[in-house]
Amino acid sequence: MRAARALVPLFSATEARPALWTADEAAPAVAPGVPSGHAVLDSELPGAGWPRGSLTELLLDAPGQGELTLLAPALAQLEARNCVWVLPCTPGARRPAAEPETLPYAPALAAAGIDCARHLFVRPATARESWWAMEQALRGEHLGALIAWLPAGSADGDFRALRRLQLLASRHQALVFVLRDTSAARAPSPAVLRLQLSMREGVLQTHLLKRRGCPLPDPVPLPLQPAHWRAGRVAALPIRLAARPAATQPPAAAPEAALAQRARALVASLLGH
Amino acid sequence: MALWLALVLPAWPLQLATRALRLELPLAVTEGPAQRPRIACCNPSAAAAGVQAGQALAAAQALCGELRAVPRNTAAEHAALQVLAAWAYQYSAQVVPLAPPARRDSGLLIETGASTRLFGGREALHRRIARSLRTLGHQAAFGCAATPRAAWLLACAVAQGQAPGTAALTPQELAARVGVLPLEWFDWDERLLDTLRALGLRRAQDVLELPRAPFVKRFGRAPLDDLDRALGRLPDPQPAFEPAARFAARLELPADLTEAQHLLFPAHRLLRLAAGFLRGRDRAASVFDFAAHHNPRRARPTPPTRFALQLAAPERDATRLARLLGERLARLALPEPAIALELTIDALQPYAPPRPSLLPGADGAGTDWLQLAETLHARLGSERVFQVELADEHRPELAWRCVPVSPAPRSAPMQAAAAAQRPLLLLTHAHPLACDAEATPLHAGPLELLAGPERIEAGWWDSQGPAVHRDYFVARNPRGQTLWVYRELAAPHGWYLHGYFA
Repeated sequence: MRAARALVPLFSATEARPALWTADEAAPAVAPGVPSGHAVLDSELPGAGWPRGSLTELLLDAPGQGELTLLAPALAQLEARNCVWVLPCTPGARRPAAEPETLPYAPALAAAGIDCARHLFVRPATARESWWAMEQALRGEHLGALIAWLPAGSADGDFRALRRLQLLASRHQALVFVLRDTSAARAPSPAVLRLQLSMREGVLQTHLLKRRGCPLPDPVPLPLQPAHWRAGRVAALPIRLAARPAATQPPAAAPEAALAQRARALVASLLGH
Repeated sequence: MALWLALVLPAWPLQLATRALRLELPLAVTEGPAQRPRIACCNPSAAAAGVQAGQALAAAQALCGELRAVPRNTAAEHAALQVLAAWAYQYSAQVVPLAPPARRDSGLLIETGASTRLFGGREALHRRIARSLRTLGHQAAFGCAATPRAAWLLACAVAQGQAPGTAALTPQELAARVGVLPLEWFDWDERLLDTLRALGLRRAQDVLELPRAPFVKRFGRAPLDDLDRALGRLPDPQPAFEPAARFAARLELPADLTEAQHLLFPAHRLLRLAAGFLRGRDRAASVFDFAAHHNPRRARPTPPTRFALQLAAPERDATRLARLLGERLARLALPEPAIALELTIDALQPYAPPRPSLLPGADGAGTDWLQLAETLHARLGSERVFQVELADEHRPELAWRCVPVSPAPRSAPMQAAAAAQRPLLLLTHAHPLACDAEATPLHAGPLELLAGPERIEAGWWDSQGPAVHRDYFVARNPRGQTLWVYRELAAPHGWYLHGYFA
């Protein structure tokens, strides 16, 4: 048998880049992103940071998982750029919230290095106002970042609304973060980056549900909380504390009265009576 | 060189009644005693049905069944003319509102000779004035001449149907154009006009050709002085007009409006008037007060519905204000149909127009952010759009404040004094936690405490604020949330949730 001629590929994969990428590597030609401040996460994100000009979705089942701590270093780099926060809309009487109403806490933001001089907080009353406020924020040309809590809605309606936001966001270089409930993890979304956050034992497990390039099956662990918190429960505390109130109940009413009395005595002594 | 532009506003009462909405219904303005109203003027669709000025209202209604009659209000006409004169003040420093009592036409005289250079030429300025007047909903006839009287007469000629000619600037042109005008237009005494007509004098040039001294001996100086002023032979000083310090304009709506969104069209007209007034005064305003009036003749009249447009920075651009007003009207509900709309501006502020920078991308961010804040304000209300500011306070709920959005960048923020970690999300009201049998606080599961206690005791001196005596802990629940909880030091030692370490 004649030896089969060696097959020559029609084109070399290296020449066809960046238009061609193989599934075993991350997409090569992506615009550089804003460094997130966590090196472990940056090594897995395409562009080594949060993508500019497109939606980033963060999925979590309850507030307090460390979502804002994750974003804080990137927001601190914004400095004097405009930033808009669209807070969760106040739920109506028909649907009482599972979690009480919250507000980003200014002293903590300042401690994280975020300057609130150009930060605008919006608390919409209905879902429609919420989408409208996000759209208005993205129409501005000089937006630095938008952080929005999405109102709960139907999967179809949300997809269309998010696609509109994605189109508006692609016109400029702002960071856009959208926070949603974990139940939307199965729903399709136009965001280029989707992260699911869950906090386990003080370490934030970040599943990259969607990113440009090859998928990542394992979560990225991010130790966000201080080490002394992870050391376990505080010694000589809480549960036994319940025994104490019964014992100290009679004088418990006294501290306030005693304090007021001490204050009066102090004032009297200062006035020289 | 002095150049006067006269605007004659024919059928001024009718224009005021119809400028709020574009209506094709037959409409007439009535005047006279209440028992026997007569038609003063009517619009083309009423005239097509046979209604004429001077007819009794009953006769007019017999001719045209669906005729709407609006009584004439001379005070409102005068006020509206003053507002229009204030609007015209942006084009010239000499504006004269004219309302000859014998006629139903009112008008304005604007001295444009001094402003032609600023606005790019005489033709450009006149075209601009004509266009702006059309957007306000007024029709006008224009006349241009070197003297105010001649300009007014030429404009009256155009209002009567003559073709508008070129401006009469030289004395020969003035003499030629004024000379052909009939004597009835000169507002002279009726008996004098009758006598002149009986003498066979029809036009102004007939009077001018007569010898002056005998004419003066028989008929007095007044007619000849009037002609001389028109021809520029005698000086004709006009009273100086000064626009008022505040702006108040009112639009009567010919049809009742029930939807708040429909108020945008008349409100846009009012905003254009206000923009002209502000430009003339070289000011801007940040508070625009609107009032929608309801029918006053009901048994229990409803007070006017007031709504205001409040801006973070002074503004005078009518288009932008109309867009913000559209968002504001989306939130408004009228309790009753509105019959009139009024706009008042009380406080005028100095205005600094945004200056384009020569460097790329310099301060577009500032105006952009401010416009976003104003748009959000207009739609959502000022209590839902805010900024936060730090306060020097140990009590966590008072360590920050919601402040309204302001254009000026704040002074350098105070350093956060707390050494301990603070949660990034704070609850607006502390949420009480239930405890289980072992007195462990519960929030979607039993909490395990990670750090604490941090004792905060402050505010016992504050008569208005809360006194805080709490032990703060960082807790974690089985769901993975990290919470900031506190325990009251006073009885009953309840546990409360105060924040999330988001």
